[in-house]
Amino acid sequence: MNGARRIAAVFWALCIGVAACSCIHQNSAASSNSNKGADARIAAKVYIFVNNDCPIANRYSPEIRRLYEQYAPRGVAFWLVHCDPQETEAGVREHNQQYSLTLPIIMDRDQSLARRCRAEVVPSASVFSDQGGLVYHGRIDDRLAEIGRERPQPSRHDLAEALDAILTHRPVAVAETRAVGCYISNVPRLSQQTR
Amino acid sequence: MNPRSNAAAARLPLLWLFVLQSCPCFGGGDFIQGYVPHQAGSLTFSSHIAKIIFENCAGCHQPGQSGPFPLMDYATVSKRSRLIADVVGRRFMPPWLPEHGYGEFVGERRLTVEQIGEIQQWSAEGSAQGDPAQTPAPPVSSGGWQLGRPDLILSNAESYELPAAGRDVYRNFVLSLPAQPTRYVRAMEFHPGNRAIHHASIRVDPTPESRLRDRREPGPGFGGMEMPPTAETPEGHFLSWQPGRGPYVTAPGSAWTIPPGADLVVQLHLKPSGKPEPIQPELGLYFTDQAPTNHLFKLLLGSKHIDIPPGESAYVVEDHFRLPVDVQVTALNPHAHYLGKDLQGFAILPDGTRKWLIWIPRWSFFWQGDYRLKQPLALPAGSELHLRYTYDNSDANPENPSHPPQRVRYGIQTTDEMAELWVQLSATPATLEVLRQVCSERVLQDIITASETRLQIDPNDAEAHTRLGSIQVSSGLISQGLRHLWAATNADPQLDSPHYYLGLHYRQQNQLAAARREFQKTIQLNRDAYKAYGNLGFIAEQQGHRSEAEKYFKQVLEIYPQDPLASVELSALKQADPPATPASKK
Repeated sequence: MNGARRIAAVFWALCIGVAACSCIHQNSAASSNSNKGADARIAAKVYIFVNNDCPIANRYSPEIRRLYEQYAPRGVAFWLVHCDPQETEAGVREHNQQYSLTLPIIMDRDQSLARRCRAEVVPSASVFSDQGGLVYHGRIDDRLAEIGRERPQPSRHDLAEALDAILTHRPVAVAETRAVGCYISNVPRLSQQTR
Repeated sequence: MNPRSNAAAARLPLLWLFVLQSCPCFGGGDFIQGYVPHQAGSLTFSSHIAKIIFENCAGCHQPGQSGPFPLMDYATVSKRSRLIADVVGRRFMPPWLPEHGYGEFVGERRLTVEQIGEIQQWSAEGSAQGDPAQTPAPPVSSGGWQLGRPDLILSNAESYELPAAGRDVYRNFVLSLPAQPTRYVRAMEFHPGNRAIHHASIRVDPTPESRLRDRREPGPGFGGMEMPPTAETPEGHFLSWQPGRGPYVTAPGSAWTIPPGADLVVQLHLKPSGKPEPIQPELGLYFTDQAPTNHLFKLLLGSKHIDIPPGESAYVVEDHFRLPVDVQVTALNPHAHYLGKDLQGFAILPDGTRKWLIWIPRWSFFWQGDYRLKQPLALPAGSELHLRYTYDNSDANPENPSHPPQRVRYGIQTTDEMAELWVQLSATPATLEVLRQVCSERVLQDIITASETRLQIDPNDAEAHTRLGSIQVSSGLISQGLRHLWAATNADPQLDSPHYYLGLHYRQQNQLAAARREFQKTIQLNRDAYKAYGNLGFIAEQQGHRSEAEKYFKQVLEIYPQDPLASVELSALKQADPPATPASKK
């Protein structure tokens, strides 16, 4: 039985390893090694709040991908955070395949990460410095003035500006901006469900 | 999902309601002006909100329809309750641009103050579900053709892939009908098949110009907001589609005509969604044997005199037209680009009374559409139709395509501006003929102004030179017109059209060698220039070169099988009799 137990232990270790590699984490257990190309030292952590059926978040997918590809190699760790407990991991994986998103994912069903990040809206981004302080939260860029009023292209790339400041050891000039989209707190948290 | 029980909410005193209103956590804030709140806790999804959402929102917000997410049950509505309260409070949703009370239109989408307030109060109080057993049933979508199976369904043969990101895309598909006699269309239904299609407009091109343009450009259809001038709205009908718009059914006796050999051109406004999207809409047509007896006329109010300084937030453009005959206004189609802010159309009657046609105080390029009047509006001869549009070219306008703002003038591109109000009129055949004559002069002057404006912006605009030159030559301003046509050939040596119009002029002057040279140049630059082949055929015929003439007319028919002149000439040439006197080609 010892041999069988050893085999079982190896099997489960492999499963956990595979789960880690599929890069879906349950709420803030995210570790740095799930970010492709990240340096050993993380320069900043970026949590981008999205969900599957928000059309605004979906339209941001190419921009999110672009930011990930631009900044991850420079030591910035990224996660996509889903706060809607109705979403399943399989559904999120399938969605991200359609939208060509390879960022690691956190399922934040009790919205505790959202509260820590002061994230109120989907889509939005929250940035923590390497010292662990929240240095920016709000919109990714200013393309959406309000629901239904959109600039043909953004004039301010707020998330990128914050990351540029961090990577060049400057203070982040604007710590908070107003993101436009669906309200996270509107979605009933896991703890509010009666079942 | 049951975030808060009814019982708990019902115990809240009014003071708590006040607190909840102000607390952002519950989507609080003021209710819409004029709303008297219900007793706290009395509003639930099942008792009040479901009915409002199902009747006003779920038509689009359901699987397979245009809405980007469904609003079909408590779970999907409650998780967006605060967003819904926001957008209905601003009257951004349901989408409807014309201001209530300034014209009455079919299919007006509007919530009452009571309905908006109820949604806002329900959201502020925590979006209670109520008794699920008492919830009304959501609407059932037919999913198919609302008018039954169409007589003909048209679609672009090859799907077009809309890129995942980038600015909005305009794409035009040319839909050819099977060879058949004249068709009369009594109804039309458009199925976008993909949410990325934000609106569509359909025109009829009786010539092959659109088809040839499609052939010249790779991929299905051709790009851009500009269709060939030969693609027109048929007989005054506005054929367009926006989300939520059902089939277009003509009034009795008012079918629109598709002549034999004509193509339909469908212009789509596409909005990238974040992933590549396949675009292959369907257009269903329903025919009648009855030729139209009631005719419509499209009158164009508008102005090309647009020159908005950067930073100007209230630039006004105006136009007016005095009606020479009694008419009835049946539909309106306002148009401006991203800087449009406040759009007004009204009529001043001979007695000085003002009658509103339409007022859009918060124009949105994205939600543009045409509007059919519930009842035709009778206007007597002597009434003056007015257009008054205000534009915002300041940095405060988020939809300004340019940051910092730039000088903006009339033009087709989205970085230019336009001011148009199509006014659909119904009148007797005799009065329609008067309108046609009067308006054709306006249209010509309009084209001249448009071309002159474009030349002020770009003195090397070859197409503007060509358009202006061709009109001047045909109006007798020969030397001016020729100067513009030569300028076009210099500005763009690859453009065929100025050579064609030069050929027409020389042929008119019986300078046949020069005419041949220009038409040969035309077909060298554009192998689809069937009209140039036709003219070469007539010249050859005139010079007695019958086999050469036959060759040219056959070439015309290869490109455009329905060309009437080439068919007639070819038949005449094939007979043994001396050739008929050639008719003049336009």
